[in-house]
Amino acid sequence: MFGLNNGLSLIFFLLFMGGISVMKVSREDGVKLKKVALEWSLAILISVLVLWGAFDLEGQFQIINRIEWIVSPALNFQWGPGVFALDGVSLFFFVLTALLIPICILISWKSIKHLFKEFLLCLLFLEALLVGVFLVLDLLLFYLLFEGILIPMFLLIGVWGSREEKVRASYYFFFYTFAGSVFMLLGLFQIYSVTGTTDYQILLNIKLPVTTQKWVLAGIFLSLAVKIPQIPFHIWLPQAHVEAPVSGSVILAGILLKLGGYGFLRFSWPILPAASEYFAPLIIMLGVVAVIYGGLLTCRQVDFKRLIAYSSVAHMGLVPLGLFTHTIEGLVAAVFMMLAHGFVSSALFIAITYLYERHHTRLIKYYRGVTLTMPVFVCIMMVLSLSNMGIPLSCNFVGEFFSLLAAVEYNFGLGVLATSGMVWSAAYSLYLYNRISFGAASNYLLFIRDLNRCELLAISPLLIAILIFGIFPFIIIDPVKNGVIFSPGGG
Amino acid sequence: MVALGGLCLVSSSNWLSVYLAIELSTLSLFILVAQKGGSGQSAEAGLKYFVLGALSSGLFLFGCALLCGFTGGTHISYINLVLNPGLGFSELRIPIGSLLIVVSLLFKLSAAPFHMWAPDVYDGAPTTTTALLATVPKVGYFSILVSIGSAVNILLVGALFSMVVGAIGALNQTKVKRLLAYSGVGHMGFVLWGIEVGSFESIQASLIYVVLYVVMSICVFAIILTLGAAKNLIVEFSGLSRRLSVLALTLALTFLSIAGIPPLVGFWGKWLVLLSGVVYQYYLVFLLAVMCSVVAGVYYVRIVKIIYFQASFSLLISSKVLRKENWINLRKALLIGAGLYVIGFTMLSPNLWLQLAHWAVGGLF
Repeated sequence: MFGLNNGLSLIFFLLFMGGISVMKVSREDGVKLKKVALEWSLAILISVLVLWGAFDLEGQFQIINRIEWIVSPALNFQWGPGVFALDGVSLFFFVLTALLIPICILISWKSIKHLFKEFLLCLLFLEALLVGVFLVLDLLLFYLLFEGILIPMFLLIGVWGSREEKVRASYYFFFYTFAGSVFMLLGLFQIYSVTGTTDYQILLNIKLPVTTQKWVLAGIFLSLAVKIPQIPFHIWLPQAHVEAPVSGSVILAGILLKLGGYGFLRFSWPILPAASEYFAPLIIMLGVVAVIYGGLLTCRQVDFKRLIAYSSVAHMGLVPLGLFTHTIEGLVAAVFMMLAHGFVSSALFIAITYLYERHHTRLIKYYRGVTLTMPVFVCIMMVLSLSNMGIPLSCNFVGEFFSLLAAVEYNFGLGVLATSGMVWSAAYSLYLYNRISFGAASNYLLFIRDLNRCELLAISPLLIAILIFGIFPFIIIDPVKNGVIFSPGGG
Repeated sequence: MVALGGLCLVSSSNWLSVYLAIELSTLSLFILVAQKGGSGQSAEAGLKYFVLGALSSGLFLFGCALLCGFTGGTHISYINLVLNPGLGFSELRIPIGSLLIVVSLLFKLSAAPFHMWAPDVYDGAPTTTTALLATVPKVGYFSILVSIGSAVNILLVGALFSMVVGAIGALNQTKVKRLLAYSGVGHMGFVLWGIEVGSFESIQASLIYVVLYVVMSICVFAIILTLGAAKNLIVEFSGLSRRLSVLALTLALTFLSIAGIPPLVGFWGKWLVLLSGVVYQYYLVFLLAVMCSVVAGVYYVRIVKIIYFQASFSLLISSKVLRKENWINLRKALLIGAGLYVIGFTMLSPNLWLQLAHWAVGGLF
């Protein structure tokens, strides 16, 4: 078929051209700047959707692009080739990334006041790195891109964040990730020095010695657990979320947190099976702790952005839980949960920011009776809150259902404990929605416009996706299942 | 003269000519460091450099004398041949001689614990001289250290000390040149570790590391010169992103690259050195090294923060407004541009560098 194999190159080419054409627009011409960036990111989204349409649902690695990277004259020194490919698992993260970037541009249409051009370039650069991370099939290149995301994200939080604490938040973000990921580097070097390659597809067929596996997995765990964020390493997340501009929060919640789960999916069972078996009880236990403790923490937040950030911690706890049970349901549930959380939590951040932009406070107790002034907003908020607590028909339900199923299969008591997390999520979602929407309208909140068309359009793709994937989950589940089965560690 | 000295140093294979080359380049550096007339700091820096330089030269000469007196030759390769461990000499003079030579070279490389002069001299000297001081001699001394061979444990001690001192010393600096001096100390730690490991790949890695460090330093110093800051305080970078956005971006990327954040090129040097260490199972050193580079990341990122997140520092606004808008002249622009090109795009295809380093190191073995 024409061009399909060049599909991935096309995406990178479009990103590059988008960057160039944003650079060419003059700094003063704000409207044109936004339009150009939006058009290019939409073009990328469309081509990504076309790729999805052309995707062979068998789920194995396809659309493989090999790029010779470092070939040294010394025979003992070769890195790469960098292989970029899609499979059933990475496809949806790829689509999610391409979907969220235009939304980010739309929602920061008004809110970013200064250095808008740099902001757009930052977003496009971030998109290129993220697409690269999800596609690449080489461990070292994965690390490179994974770390490279620090730079634009650090700037995004630090430069366009809202308050003075943003510096501290961006430091937290930067150093938590940096300190965690050097251990991953050690692990990767250890893999390289044992096997002589970092190519994922070759590593799939190599059995590493068990001791090596354990150390490597410990290193990788430290770096990925920071990203998920697993419970003892989660301190940076609420900080970063609260201080980041809304687009930063959306990218953090929607895509960056998924990197951790995605990394585990790629690296734990397929190439380090023995060590995964060894560490699974610990990681599952941390997952359960995240679900319960994270849920309790969320219930006592007063700042609504922080509340949603902690709810991310609680929900993401289900991901390692599902992943390390090592059943088909668990693995599929982990991917589905990440995607569902990517839609719901980003949409919640966007909705909550609409409210913040009108009233300039993030404290929940200042709000009541918003139903009277902003009915459309409240409708959206209701859909989102309900799906955040995992009501049937929303895509969160599917993810939570399958991961709890996997947990019960793994150990009944564990399943019961994990299920109690559902109660907490219902509690805080309803609390947030109830306090904001109902009650007598406050005098201070009257005379406020409802959502305008731009805002409504920006959030609606996410709402539609939540409902569609909640009602027809098999659109996602089939390719993911095939992808998971295809990789040797699965099932 | 410095360049000539450096070239002689690289190409000489005889202890006497090495000594002469070192003296040639340091002597001219003394003068350059102290040349800023009417500045007490510059004179102080020159004096410090002179005294410590003379001391280290003395040590070097003493070490040479011991070695040459024992073996009866002055050629490096000849001495190395005679001192081949297989021959089984157990003479006290040999380790002392090579120890003295290495110590004096560490002095010149400003590796810890012999780094005390570096911050003062870097800060006191005129910026062009600092740029020279930070780049040219390091390459030269590197080549000598490699040719001595790696069997000296003091290199590892020096490497560890340098990493720690470089990471911790720079945390509290307010002047950018002092900070760069400490960062240089830290980077020399990585280079020394690569030499100490002593395999083909590790020396290749060290060589690449030195070259990349030099490129990045040149880029930083060129930008500092272009900005023409009055006191070289770090806070003078504040608000740069609003005044000169391209230059600010370049400076920020350069510092992030020095900090070793991928996908910038600084990470590549670190990667190669660390990898060669892991292959030879220096796990604890690896942990220390990455810890140090995380700590060192703090102050590089702090500079980026000052460039981007802080509005102009209020006390400095007046001086900035009063100074006329300075255009970057073409030569500096080209230099900075070339530096940025290397920093940003080498990771895409580093094969050329590897090839060159491979040839260079191949000559040694």
